[in-house]
Amino acid sequence: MRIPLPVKGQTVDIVAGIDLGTTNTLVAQVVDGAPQIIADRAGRRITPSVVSIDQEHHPVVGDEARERALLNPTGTLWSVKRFLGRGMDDLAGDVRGLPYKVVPSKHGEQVAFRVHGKQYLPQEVSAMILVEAKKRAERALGGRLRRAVITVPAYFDDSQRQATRDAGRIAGIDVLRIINEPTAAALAYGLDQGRAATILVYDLGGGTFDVSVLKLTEGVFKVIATTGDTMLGGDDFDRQLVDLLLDDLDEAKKELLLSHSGCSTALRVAAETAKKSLSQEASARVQLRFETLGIQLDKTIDRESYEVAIRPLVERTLEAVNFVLDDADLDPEDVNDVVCVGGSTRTPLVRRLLEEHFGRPPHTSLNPDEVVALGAALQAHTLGSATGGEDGTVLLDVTPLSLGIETYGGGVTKLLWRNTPIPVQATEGFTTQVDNQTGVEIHVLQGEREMARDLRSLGHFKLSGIPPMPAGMPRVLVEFFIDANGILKVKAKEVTSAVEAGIEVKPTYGLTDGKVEEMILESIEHAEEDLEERLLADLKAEAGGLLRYSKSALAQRRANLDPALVGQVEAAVAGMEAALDLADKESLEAAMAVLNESTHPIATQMMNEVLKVTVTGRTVGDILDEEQKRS
Amino acid sequence: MSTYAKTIQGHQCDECGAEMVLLLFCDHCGADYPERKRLNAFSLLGLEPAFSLADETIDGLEIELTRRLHPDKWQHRGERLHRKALLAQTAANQALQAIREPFERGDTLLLLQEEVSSGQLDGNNSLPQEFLVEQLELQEEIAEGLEPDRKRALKSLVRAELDSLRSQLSDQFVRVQQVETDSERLDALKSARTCLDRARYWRNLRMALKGVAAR
Repeated sequence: MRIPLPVKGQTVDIVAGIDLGTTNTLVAQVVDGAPQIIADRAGRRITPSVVSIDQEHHPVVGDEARERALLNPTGTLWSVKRFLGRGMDDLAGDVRGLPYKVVPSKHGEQVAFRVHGKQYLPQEVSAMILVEAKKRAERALGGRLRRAVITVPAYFDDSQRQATRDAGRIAGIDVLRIINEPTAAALAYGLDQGRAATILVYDLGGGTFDVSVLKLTEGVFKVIATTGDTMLGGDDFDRQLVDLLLDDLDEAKKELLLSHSGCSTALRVAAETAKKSLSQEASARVQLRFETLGIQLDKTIDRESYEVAIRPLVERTLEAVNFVLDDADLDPEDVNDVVCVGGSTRTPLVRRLLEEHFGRPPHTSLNPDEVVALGAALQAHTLGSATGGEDGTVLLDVTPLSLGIETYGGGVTKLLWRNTPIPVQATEGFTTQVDNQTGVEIHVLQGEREMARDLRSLGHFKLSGIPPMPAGMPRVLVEFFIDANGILKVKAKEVTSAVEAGIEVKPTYGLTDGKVEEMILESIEHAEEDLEERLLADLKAEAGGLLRYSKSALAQRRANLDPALVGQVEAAVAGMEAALDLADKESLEAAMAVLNESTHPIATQMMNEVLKVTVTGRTVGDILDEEQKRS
Repeated sequence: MSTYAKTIQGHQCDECGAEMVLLLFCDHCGADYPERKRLNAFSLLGLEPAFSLADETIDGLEIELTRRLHPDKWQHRGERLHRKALLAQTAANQALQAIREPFERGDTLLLLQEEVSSGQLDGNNSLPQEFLVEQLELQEEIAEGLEPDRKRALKSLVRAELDSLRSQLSDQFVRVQQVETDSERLDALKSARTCLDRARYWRNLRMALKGVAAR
């Protein structure tokens, strides 16, 4: 096996596949022809998609951020992907029960997070996650990650894809291609090696559900139909479990627990842990003690009642499966392969119902959490290689939703129908309704319904400077263009007058190019300084954050801690301070390792104080430890 | 299907002589022919205009076009060629859309008959009142929600109607080829137009029966 060794003064160029997930983010690259997840130096293969922002607005990402969720509930953001490219109207009731604040942003109609008095856009927070994943890969491989393929759910609409692309750009990554997660999964299973097949990819992740039908013919992968639900996933299973846990409490107590951000976090963690064990065990016992509220919980949930609770959710996914088959004019028996993606497909009920539906067991041999990143790495390798994918599999995607513009009277004229292969272009002519109208407001819409008010608004375009003419005379040509990434560009011009009028683009949910540029400049990541220097700066910032966190945790908990542990933490804190003065890489890394190690019992203790999930005699601490060892 | 359209073999690039998969752009030397943009979908794809076209022919063509033109294949051939390939693939997809589905294909064919018809083949020829009323009632029924049995029955009704219209359409296009006089040809084309107009309503019903996005 060839191990790429970094030569001094010359860094390895990493071309990676990134699965920017709702719950976890993974990075993979192809080594010797096979895709591999890039583990960081501590051996971690997964970066939790969690960002914790402290009072000084210093962000921490991943495992460390998750550990801080209890100390900093209003500043710890998870499931950020749910908010990418979305507006307040899209979310409606879904912000209920979140300890952090979701507010309308200052930029267009999209949402933002309000953390300690400052607004953060979902794109910025996603960029922080990408930067962390990127840093981990760079440190582990001693190279530089500049180019990547990023995956999105096939059902992601234009604004969500745009937002993902922007997040990549803000993180200083040249996004080679946005590809669909199901396509990536099929690639990872090597299903592109066969000659012809019809493949159904069932992807039930943490926060999104996607089902797609792919058709493979001689090296061309075509998504023929896709649907899903961007608001359905394992998190909803957790929510069902939370409801089961709170079953015996009266309404007032339920309300009290759910409105308290620390408690709702603890409940969520307990539910998630119980869910995982219910995939293996027949029952899980959850014990929670909320001393400040005087509430105690001790409940054993068996798999049967859990399955009864989640069955409607799983059935909702099967309705979508039927819908997508119907859309592709296929019956279940026409499908040659069923591929499972996403951690929630470990749920026995999901696998059982899928097997019943298709009369064949789904593919589950690859880790359902890693399969998308692995496939993305394969495609990144194809696109990034010197031959430019001349021999690789070609992905022919379709647009997941119909696109059109609003017409007089609140109707809609569709220019592109869903499931149209992309890249594609469509042009349609329109005219004015009023004499001497010099401007036309063009409203770009997306969706399947017939009236503009039922559709999702993607943006407004103003075509101005039309010479005064009687109504019906001007011929306004509107052109939709969707590139290979599924990203839409709209142009409009008036042709009768032979005057090409300019258009002003105001994306409703996205960012203007100017704003993205600004954010890239803000992001120190993008600065082209020396790699070593940059890594050191990151390390210092991270060490500083860890130091602050450790000090505050120690100050808060000192009284409840074993004096020996206090001594250890204090020594580690002093070591960290000394290392920060020295500011060289080795001592910083060593001091961080020691400090992380010594504060780990505090975090675990804090967790255990509020909740105790006993799964055949194990505590949360045990389970977390096991998970860490496993990954 | 009686007459399959034949692929026009061996259309060569003026620059390098290589065989072209799409008349707009040579994927061998990168020469492009923007003046051919106005060619109809059939010509662009090197097909003879005909209604009878096997699904396999179209699928095969799509695979071939994608394999040779997809922008991902041109990632490293420079910005200019990458862009050209993107535009070529876009035009190819658009042309395929215009001929893939039989009724779309019928519309595309009628557009080619402009000189015979001189504007008499525009859509929305008046359809019988009772047909329109029936369609309206069916749409309303679907909008109000259907029992599974009724839904299945309606689906097979729609499928049967569309199958019948498709074969009528095919007959009319065969007639167009066979008749001697312009007036007979125009008559066949008008009948084809009526089939297409009716089909539009049935296709709308088919869309409605498939439902909107499953959310």
